[in-house]
Amino acid sequence: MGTARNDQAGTAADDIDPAALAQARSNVYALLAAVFRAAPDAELLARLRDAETARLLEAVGFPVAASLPALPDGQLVEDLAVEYTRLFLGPGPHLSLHESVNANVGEHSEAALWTERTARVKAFIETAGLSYAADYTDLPDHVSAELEFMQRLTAHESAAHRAGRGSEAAVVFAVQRKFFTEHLGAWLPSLCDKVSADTRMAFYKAVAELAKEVADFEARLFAEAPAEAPAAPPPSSPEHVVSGRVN
Amino acid sequence: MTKLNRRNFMTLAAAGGAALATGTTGTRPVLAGTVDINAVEASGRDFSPKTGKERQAIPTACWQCVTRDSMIGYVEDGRLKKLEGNPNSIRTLGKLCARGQAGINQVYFPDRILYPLQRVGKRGEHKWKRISWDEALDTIAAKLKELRDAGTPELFMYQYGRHKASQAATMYDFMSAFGSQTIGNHTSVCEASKWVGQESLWGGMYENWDYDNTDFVVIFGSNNFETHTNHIPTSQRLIRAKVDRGVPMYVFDVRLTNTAAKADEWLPVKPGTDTAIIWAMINVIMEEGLYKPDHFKYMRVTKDFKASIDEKVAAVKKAAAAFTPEFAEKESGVPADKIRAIARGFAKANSACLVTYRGVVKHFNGADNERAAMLLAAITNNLDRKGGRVMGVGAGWNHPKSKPAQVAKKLPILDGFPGEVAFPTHHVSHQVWPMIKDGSHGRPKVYWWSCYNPAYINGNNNETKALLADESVVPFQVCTTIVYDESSQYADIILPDVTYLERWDWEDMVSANQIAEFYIRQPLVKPLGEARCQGDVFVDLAKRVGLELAWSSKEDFVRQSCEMTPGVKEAGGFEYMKKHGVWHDPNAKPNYGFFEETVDTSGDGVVLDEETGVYWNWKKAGVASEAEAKQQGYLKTPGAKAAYVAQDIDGTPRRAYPPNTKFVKTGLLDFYSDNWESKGLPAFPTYTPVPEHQKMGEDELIMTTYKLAVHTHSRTAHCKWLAEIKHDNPAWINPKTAAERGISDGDPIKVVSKVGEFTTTAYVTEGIVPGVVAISHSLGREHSGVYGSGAASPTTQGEGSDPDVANIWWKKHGAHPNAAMPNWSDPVGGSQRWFDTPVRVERA
Repeated sequence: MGTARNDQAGTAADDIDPAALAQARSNVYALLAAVFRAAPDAELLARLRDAETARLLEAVGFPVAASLPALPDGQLVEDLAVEYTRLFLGPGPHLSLHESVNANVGEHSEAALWTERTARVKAFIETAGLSYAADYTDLPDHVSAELEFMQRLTAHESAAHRAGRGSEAAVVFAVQRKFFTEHLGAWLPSLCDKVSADTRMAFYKAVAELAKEVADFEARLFAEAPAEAPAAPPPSSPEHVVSGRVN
Repeated sequence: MTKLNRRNFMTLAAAGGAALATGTTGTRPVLAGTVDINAVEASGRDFSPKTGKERQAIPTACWQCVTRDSMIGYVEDGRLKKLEGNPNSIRTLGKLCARGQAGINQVYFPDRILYPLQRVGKRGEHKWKRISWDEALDTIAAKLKELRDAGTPELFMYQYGRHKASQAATMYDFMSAFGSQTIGNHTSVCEASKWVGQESLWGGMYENWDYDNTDFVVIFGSNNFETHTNHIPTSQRLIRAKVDRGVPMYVFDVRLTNTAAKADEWLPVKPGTDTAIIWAMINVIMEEGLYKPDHFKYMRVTKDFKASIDEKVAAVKKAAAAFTPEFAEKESGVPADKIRAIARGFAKANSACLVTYRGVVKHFNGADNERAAMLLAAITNNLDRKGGRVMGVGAGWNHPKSKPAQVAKKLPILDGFPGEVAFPTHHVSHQVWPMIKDGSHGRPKVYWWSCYNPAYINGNNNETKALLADESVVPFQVCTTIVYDESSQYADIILPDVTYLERWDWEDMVSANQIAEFYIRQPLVKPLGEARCQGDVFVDLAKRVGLELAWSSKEDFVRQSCEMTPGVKEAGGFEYMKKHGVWHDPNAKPNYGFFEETVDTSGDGVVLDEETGVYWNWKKAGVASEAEAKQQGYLKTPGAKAAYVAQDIDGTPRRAYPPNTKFVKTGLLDFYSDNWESKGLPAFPTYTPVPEHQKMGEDELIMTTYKLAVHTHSRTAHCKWLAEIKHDNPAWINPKTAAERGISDGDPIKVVSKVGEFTTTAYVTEGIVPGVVAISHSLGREHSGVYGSGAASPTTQGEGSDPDVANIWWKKHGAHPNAAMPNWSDPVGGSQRWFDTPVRVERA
């Protein structure tokens, strides 16, 4: 990652290496997947508070580390665990982190756990050759699963670029766009608004604002990119395959 | 804040990369494998809902009420889509009620608890954090080991609500292996006195009603078409009898229920006086010679076991003499002429069903009320006979059993306060927490409850809340539940339970057609989140505390049971049951009249007891010699009832009604009961008015409760389909009673008793007798999800993220009457007296 180059203000967007951009997006998705998956453990907290990480986040307007109260590590981990539980797990009504509860459902659809939307997310992810880890216990459309899926797709795109498989990279980008448009991007921003409104800890407010901005960035990225893959599509284009299977 | 562009996005990514550089944080990946954009082509998988995706039909069983109907679940893409009755079930005949069909809500309601939670604030502060199952079970195991190592396993108390069949069997097996018999149930709020009344007469099963063959039906205090026990199997048969065959049906009830509305006549009755009417019917039948002598030979009605039929008839007639229809009219408000007409119709019918339930037994002397009902059925020869009140027939499963602990102990807090209840054979569950409060009989150090909500379902529930909240009372509390509720808010650890649609069980509920049906429950979908079946939790916990169970999982328990149960095994065992869900013996005949079966008494050690006419096996009873057995006699030999063989009936040894419960009796229907007499109670059934009703002030009313058709007592309020149908429970009050208090329909009212008060609204209706206020106990939740309580989350500022919350068009969520309901018992059978409480009602 060329962080030094990208620290320079005013660099034109277009001169960023596509492999680097895809890897960058993958890193960001990984970070978001981690903070939504569970309350941060001591290790993740330490990394978020690391001076360089904090500086980088602050440089782009997300003072995540600064949002953390000055408490002993053990107490902070405990407080974040309690807040994560209160916000996202309950007991009692809480902010579900599942697409099926949050997505803008149709008139005759039902907002509940494991709806048809869940099944579609699961099918989409499995269609891409992935499966859910054996020790994963949450539902297939948990926000962290969808974020991690985007992480994996973007990483694959970056690798394809680096290996000179431009057409494959384009196809994977198209798959990302389809998944983001139909699933993650359709509900992540509104979830972030709810988190910002409900949380009692600045950390989750910062995380929510960050995630919302990332979703906005991604939406613009997909909107600005050519509708068709720039290079010749491979023999079995996932864009074609997915569009016929996921709806 | 900076709006992200590609440039600063790279900076952000650098931060993300730095934070997760080595992947050494505790966050584990969700996804496995590598991206393969061609995978879908290779697999040929098709996920379109419009192009023939597979839908599985899986037989299983309901759990929305005690009836536990066999049913089919339809699953698509791992999601349960629909529930309907299993057409192969001889019990349900393919029917399933609204409550059953709404079971889907149990799985998918958004505020369901999906992870183990540990309390981190004060009890009731609603401050929790997620913990792993290992952490939860290690914590619990440490507490249990400490108790066992100290020689006090009984200080671990488990209390359950709706546990039946294998769900109960696995729990009892674990507790037996651990060595604690401090196991509380919920039966005294449900039916206890009904069991006690019947067990003392004909043994260990309560009745079924043979509607398929009956010619006449009389119902006391039972809402057959809405909420009655064994609801779907019995109500459809009763409707068929009425519609297809014109069977007369009379309903005595405080309220105009939907059952009463469908009857030939609703007979409004003052609470607690049903038995005066039952006795008046006996009076009419005996005085007018309408009784049928057939069953008298199986009845004991005097001290003399060998009384003649004439002597027995005279005794019953004498006992009934004072209870004339005019007396009953004065007590109950039901006209004497009506009572006479119904008594005559009942006695003259070829067969007749007498139906009693909570309206009869949840009173002072409820057990004795049930004995009177049995007497009315017996003198008309409608006991265990085609078309009558018959002994229930259910599936008898064999199942694996673990080695019991060498030492088993019990805290004496299960059966009520000393002297409170004469025969607490089904415990006195509503007094568990009052006894814990009292403390003089010991307190558990670990209290674990499951499928139970003690701070909601019992009387004086606000006191129970306060006790649960007080760490000095019970220091460690564990709750297994799917939803946050009035009790789990005070737990120290909450364990996420599976719903009944995600677990294994075998089931055994009574068949309405008198042929046993064996059926199973199997998971329709994988448990959501980290929800775990309690049976599997016991296996894991057993390993941690060093116990060896005879089964390795709940599924294994069910599998072994299928392979060791005669009939089921030969039909194909576990694999057959998984495929079909139900099994019954195709050659079985409806089970009636087993009491008449002749018995071979030629076995080694069998003797006839001259005093009682009982054949019993003195060798099996452990007596030293035949001479000693004869000298001691059947009734005076400890253990003799377990060696019962037959009853001499007119010189023929017959099976009669074996003494298979805790009651020591002969094979006769023990209407004249030495058991009763030994406790200073009337040996023969009688009518005892509710004492508190005799000294009520003129401004007082009797408060009664009832169950709603689409709700259980406490387990369905969060089901949104059901909440939409029924979400409010205004208090029923007669116009005359309301007018005396200046109350109009819809007015806010306050209901006050000696133990507490609550406010609700008045539903002024002629559908209830004067002098009574009736409020359903199914609603009025402090918690139970946003649909159950209507309240914002106790743990967030909002109402969660379920957009369907915006569709809650109703504003009322009911009131809970238990704040004003005392915990008090039928002194004989131990039932909670739901229908006896005097209250004052006024405009709020």
